Amino acid sequence: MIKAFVVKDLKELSRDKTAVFWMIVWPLLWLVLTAYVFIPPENYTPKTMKIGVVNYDVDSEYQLNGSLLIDVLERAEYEGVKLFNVLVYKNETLMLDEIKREKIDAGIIIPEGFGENLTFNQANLEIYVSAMNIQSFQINSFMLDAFLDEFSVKISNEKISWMLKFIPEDNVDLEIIEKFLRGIAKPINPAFSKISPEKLISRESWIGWYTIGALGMTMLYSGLNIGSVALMEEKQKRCLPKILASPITPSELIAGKVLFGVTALSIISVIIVIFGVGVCGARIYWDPLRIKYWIIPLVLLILALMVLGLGSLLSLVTKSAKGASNLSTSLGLLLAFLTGVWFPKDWFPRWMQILAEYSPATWAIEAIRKVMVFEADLAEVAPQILATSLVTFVVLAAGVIIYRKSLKKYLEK
Amino acid sequence: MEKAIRVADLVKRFGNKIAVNRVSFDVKLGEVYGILGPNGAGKSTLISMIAGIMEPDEGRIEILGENIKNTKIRFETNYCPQNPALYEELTGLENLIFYSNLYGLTGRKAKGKARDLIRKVGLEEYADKPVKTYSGGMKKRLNLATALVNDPRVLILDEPTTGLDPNIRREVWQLLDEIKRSDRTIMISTHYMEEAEALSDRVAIMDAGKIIAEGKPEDLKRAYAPKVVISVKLAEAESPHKALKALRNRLNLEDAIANESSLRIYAEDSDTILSSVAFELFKAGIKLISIRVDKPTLEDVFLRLTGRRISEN
Repeated sequence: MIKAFVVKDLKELSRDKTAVFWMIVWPLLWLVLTAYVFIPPENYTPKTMKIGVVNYDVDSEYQLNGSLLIDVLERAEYEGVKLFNVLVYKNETLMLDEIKREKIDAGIIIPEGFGENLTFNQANLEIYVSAMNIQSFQINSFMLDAFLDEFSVKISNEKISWMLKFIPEDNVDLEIIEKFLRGIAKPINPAFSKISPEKLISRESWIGWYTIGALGMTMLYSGLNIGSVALMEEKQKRCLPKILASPITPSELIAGKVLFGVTALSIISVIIVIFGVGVCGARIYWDPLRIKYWIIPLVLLILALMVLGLGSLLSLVTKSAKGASNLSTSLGLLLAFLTGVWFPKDWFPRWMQILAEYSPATWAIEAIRKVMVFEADLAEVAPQILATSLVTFVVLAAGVIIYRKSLKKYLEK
Repeated sequence: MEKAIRVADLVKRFGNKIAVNRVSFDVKLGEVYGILGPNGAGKSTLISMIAGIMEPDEGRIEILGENIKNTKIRFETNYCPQNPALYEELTGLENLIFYSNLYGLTGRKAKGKARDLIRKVGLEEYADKPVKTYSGGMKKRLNLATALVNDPRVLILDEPTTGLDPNIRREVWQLLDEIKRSDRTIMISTHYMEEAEALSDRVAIMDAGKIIAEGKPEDLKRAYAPKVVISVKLAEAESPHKALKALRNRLNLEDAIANESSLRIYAEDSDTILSSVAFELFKAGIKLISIRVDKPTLEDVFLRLTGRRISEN
């Protein structure tokens, strides 16, 4: 008899186009957007800066000159990708206009006499960087600064080698002098090594992170929705009296509704994970031979029961199935966006982070992420799972009491 | 003999209002028992309690010797509500399968039963179409079919033809007649006198939460209605109350009732009174459309009974 509700409700759900859109299509759309718009594949290749140059040092007779700088700029690479896309302008007005119109990221003015100064003195450069936002200004400035530092060191080394030729070898240790001079040119010689973190943060892992987020988001608003309208819809369809006249007991009716909710949410979860991995390229860890991964379905079940229970609480403050559905969808989406289910909570202001820290749905989603995206051990997620279970028990008990009271009230009417 | 339904001292209150007031009756096995009464008489509340949907404040209900609180007995009963209890997105067949499942029928048995019933109610062609595409009459027929999924020994029908146009109502009556012939115990509430008379073996007339008369339709008519009824249809502009007053001033009329545009005058013998009524109305200048002698119906019983009660109040 309980199964009858699961089958009937699933059939009704599958024929309700609006419900199918919100429960399945909407989270999948978000995933596609995330994978191909928010985290596009090109974001994970080195950045190429568009840079404008005005060279007033064209007639320089020196080997070190403005043209050399442009040439080095054009040839600079990082991991096989050009660092700068150089565009040469006739005058600075044209170049500055292009920066303002966001056609180029930065502009360099090489003044007349640059070559002479670079050879015998200290050469000046005027640099203009687009400040469209503070982050792009920061990145563009640092890239240019780092390049020019490196260029300066190379020029210094050239000059040191040239200068050493003029120092007589008698009575001096040229080796010591050379080291000293090169130390002046570059007092610190840092050695950078690239280390890939064990956890995250490849593009695939990020999509995995968001796949679990989509799952949490859907769980929140779909679960709240199903929980809030479960009995109200039966009342509005005028089928509840006939159901109550059948041999089914109120407890079986509630169990049927909860089981439908859990089944629907499980199906949606599987679709989201398969889509995330298969279509969006998410990296998610799953090994059926390791027990820690089997905790995931359990956490999902706990989360499903919790949101269904919360949904039943929402039915207390609404008078119709439509009202309950609207309220639960809005609240579910709001919670998903504000509590770190969809966006990383580190992005939020402090007060929102506190909200996320106290959200049981976020605990469950973070536990799933830790295991499936970061390969965490069971011990690491046990406190979160236990806390979520406790809240679920309380919420579900309250939900069942509300359902029973609502049925009793209906019978008394 | 085992009683199919036994109702004893049933009371249901909604706040200060008593919807069902110490109602008691028995329904025999295989009997069709009608509950007749106007809107607000307490019929649906009574039916809801007997179907197990609503709990009574006082009293006891037994179905086939078992207390209605025992949910096991509900495998032997079924209930057909006034408004179709159907899922619009599901097909007719799927609705029947769902309700079969609630009565413990599963798999092929449920499908077989659903196909059988959908054929019986003449909806075979529409079996696989969503209920939202059905007409009002088709929904009523399917609604009735859902009440037969478990071959109930006791069938409870709450105003099965209310709100239907006469053609569809006749369709439903035909179906009910077939069900009646299958030896089931049927309890039916209605506010159509014609329906109660045509379908019921015994009728309980309900008013203001109480059963005010009970018995076979013929017995009720014999006991509460006179031998003849003179039905007078007045011209549109005439007031039936004015006509009744005129007749009462001149004739010794004990039982006469004014309706919207007609009068119903109850008498033991039509011979003398018919001509007097026509003459007195003519004398009073009241225009008639028709005057005829009818046999009394349950409607007359009800009108006489409730009319009297209202006058007493």
